[in-house]
Amino acid sequence: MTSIPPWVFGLRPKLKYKQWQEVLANLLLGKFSLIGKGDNTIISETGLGLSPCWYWYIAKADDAFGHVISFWEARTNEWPEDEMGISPFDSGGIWHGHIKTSPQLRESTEKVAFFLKHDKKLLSWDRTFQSYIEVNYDVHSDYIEGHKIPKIGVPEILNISSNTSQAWTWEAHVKLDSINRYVDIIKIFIDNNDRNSFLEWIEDSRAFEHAVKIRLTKWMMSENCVVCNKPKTPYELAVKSLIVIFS
Amino acid sequence: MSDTLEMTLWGFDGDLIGNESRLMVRLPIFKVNKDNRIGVASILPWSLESQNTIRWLSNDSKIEEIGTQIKVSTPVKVLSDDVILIAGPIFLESLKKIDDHEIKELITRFNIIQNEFAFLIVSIQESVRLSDRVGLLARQYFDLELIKNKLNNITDEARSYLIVLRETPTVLLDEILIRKLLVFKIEKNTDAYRRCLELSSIRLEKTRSELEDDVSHYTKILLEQFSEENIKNRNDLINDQLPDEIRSALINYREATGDRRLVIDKVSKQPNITVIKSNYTGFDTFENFQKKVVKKLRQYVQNRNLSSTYTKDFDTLCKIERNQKKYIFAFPMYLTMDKAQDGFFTITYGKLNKLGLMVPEGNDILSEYPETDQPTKLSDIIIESVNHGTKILCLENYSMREIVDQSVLINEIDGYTKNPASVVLTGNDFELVPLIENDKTIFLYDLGDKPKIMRDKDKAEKSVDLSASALLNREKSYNNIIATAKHYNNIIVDGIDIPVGIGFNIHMADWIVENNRWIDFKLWVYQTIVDLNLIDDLNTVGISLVEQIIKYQNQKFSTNKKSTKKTPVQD
Repeated sequence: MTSIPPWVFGLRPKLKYKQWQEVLANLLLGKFSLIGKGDNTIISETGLGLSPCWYWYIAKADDAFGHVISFWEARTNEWPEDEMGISPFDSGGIWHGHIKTSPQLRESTEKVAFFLKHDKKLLSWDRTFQSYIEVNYDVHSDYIEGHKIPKIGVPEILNISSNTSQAWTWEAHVKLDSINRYVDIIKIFIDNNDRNSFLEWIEDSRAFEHAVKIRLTKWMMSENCVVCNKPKTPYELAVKSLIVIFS
Repeated sequence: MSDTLEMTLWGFDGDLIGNESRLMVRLPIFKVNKDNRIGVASILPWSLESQNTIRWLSNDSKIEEIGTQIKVSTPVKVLSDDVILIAGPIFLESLKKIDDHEIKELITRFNIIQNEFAFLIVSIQESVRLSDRVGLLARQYFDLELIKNKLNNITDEARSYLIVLRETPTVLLDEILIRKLLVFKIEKNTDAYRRCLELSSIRLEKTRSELEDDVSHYTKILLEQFSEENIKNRNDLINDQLPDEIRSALINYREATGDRRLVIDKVSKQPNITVIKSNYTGFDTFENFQKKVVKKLRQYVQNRNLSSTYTKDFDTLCKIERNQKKYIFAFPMYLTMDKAQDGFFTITYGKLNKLGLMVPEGNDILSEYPETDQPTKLSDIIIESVNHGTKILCLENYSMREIVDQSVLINEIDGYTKNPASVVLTGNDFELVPLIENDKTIFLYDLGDKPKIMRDKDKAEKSVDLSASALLNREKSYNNIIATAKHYNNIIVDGIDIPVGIGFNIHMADWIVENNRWIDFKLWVYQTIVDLNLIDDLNTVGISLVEQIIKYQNQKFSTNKKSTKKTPVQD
C-alpha cells in the first residue's frame, strides 16, 4: 500500500436520532458532540468501557451506511503513545453478539476482555493495519470489497457464513476530544440531488452564520465532494475510489 | 431464481425525517413472497436475476436501520427496476397549487402513507419523465405568476411553485437559483439577495456579476412578456397550459432511446435552424405570413444560424432528412397522428375543417348530393367508397393520405383495409396507375391546392372533346377526367382532430418550451394572422381558426370602428 488508507464514515439511509442534513453539516464542521449516535452504538460503547468516541471503518465502505460516505485522513505518528485505538473487527458487532467467535463471548466481561486483547494503539496505526492486510489478503481489493475472508484474521472469530465483513473490517474509535487534532475530513461521496437538497437546507437554516454557510457550500462544491447521479450510488463510487487509492 | 417470483414492497432505502419538502427517487426494500427473504435494491437497474444488484438482509432487525417501512393497508407488488418516488407533505401541498390536469392526475396516483408523506412505484424512466414534467410545469407556473403580478410582489402561489421547482430532482440548478434571486429582488430583501448571490455564485461557479447579468436577462424576458401592448392578450393566455401537441413532442424528445436518442443528441448540438416555406396555395397573404414568420424567428435565433428555403411539397423532404436537422415549417402544417408520432408538433392556430373532392364523370358515388357545396362528411365518403368498391386517390397535399387513414381508424370504418379497391395514392403516383376508371375512382384534395387543380382543369378542357357523343370513346386519362369531373368543396373532416399551425420537428421541442417561448410565439402568430387579414384565406382553404384569433379579430374590428369615429377630421 503506497497511500495512507483513509478512514471511512458513512451515514445510514435512515437516521433515527437526527435529520441527515444536520448530521452532515456538523460532520463537515467537526462538531461531533452535536451529532449524536444511535442507541446501539451508545450501548456498546458504554458496555466496552470506551470514552465517548467517534467510529470509522479503515479503508472500507459499507453499503448499509451508504447514503453519504466520507473519507478522513488520520495522522499516523502524532498520536499520544497510549491512545487507543483500532480493532480488527467492529466493536459494536462484538458487544451485540453479531460476530460469532470461539469460544463464544456470553458475559460482558468476556466481551470486554476480548476487545481489550485486540484493541491497538493509534500511534503508527497505518503500519499495524498494512501488516495485517499484507498477511491476510492477496490483493487489497479483497479487503475493500469485503467478499473474501482473511487468511488468518483474528483466530477467535469464526470463518462461518453468519459472520459478515463486519467481523473482519478494521475499526478506528477515537475519543471525541482528540478528533479535531488528529483526523480531518478529506472527501465526501453524495448523490447530486442530495447535495442540492443539503445546500438548500444550509441556506435556509438559522443554525449557521453566513460565513459558516459559505464555508460549507464551498466545501460541498469543491473537488473534495464527489457527486453521482442515479443509477450510480455513493457507495459504488467510494469503493472504486478506495481501490484506486491502493492500486 | 426467476423474476417471476412475486415481491411485496416493504419500504424504501431512506428516511422520511428531513425530507418533508422533497420529491425523492429511492430504491425499494422488498420481501420475496415465496421465502420471505428481504432484499434492498442497491444498484439500478436491479432484478432478482442479477444478484449483485440486491443486498440481502441477514435478519429482520437490520431492516429498520436501512430504510423506512411504507405502511399500507394492502400489500403492494413491486417489479424489477422499480423505484419509489417519495413526496414530502410540504412538497405535496405546494404541488397541489399547480392547477394543471396532469399534475392533478399525478397527485391522485400517489398513495398517502405515514406522516402525510406519499409514495408512488414507477420505473426509473417514468420517474425521470414525471420529474421533468413537474419541473417544467412548476417553472412555467412560477414565471406566469410573476408576469401576472407584473413582478411587483411574490404571491403564496409563486412561493409554492418555487418549492416544487427547487425540490424536484431533474430541475437544473441555475433555473432554481436565478428564480430564487429574483424573488429576493422583487421583495427588495437586499440582505437575503446578497447572501443568496454569494452562495449561488459558489454553487454555479460563476462570478457574482455574471449571476446578476443572468438575473437581469431573466427579468428582461419576463418584463417583455407583459409589455403594455401585450398585457391584455397575455392575461388571456395566463391560464393556458402547454398544449397537448407540444407536450407529446416534448415527451418524445426527452424519452427517445436508441438510434433516435443518438440523432436527437447530435442534432441538439447544431445551432442551425431551417425554415421551410411553401407557396402551394398561391395566395399572397400566405407568402407574407411566411416571410413574417422568418422575420419573427430572427428575434430568437441569430441570423447566421437561421436559413429558409421553399418546398413544393412536404414529401420532397425525404423522411431521413426531416429528422436530421432542426426544421420549422412556416406553411400550414397538418398535424396528423402520423406526424405527431414522428415527433412533429405545431403552434396551432386552427384545425382542418374541410377538404375538396373531385368526382369523375359517370361516378355516382355522390348521386345523393347534387349540390357541390352541400356539406358531406369525409367518413361517409370513405364508407361509400368501400361500399362502391371505389378507389380514393389523393391529390398533391402531403397529408391527405394520412388524413384518410386517420379517419378510417378513428371513425372505425369497417371493411376499408380489407377492400383491395380502396387504396390511397398521392398525386405523384398518377403516372404509375395503369387504369383510372372513371366510375371507380374519386380524388380527394386539400382546398389549398384547388387553384392549381382548377388551372389544370382549364388547360385540360381546352384539349378535350367535351361533347356527349365523345363520352363513350373518351380515353381514361387524368387529363380527360379532370376536364369533366365535378368538384365538391365542402367535404367535412369529421370525427378527427387535425391541428393546423406553424410546424416544428422533434428537435425543436425543448427550444419552444425554453423560457416559455411558445407563449410568445403563439401570441405573435395569433396577432399576425389578424393583422394580415389571413382569416378569410385560411377559411377558404378549409382551416377554421381557434377561438382566440376570432376574438382578436373582433377586438380589432371594434377598435377600428371606434377609432374611425374618433378621428372624423381625417376625412
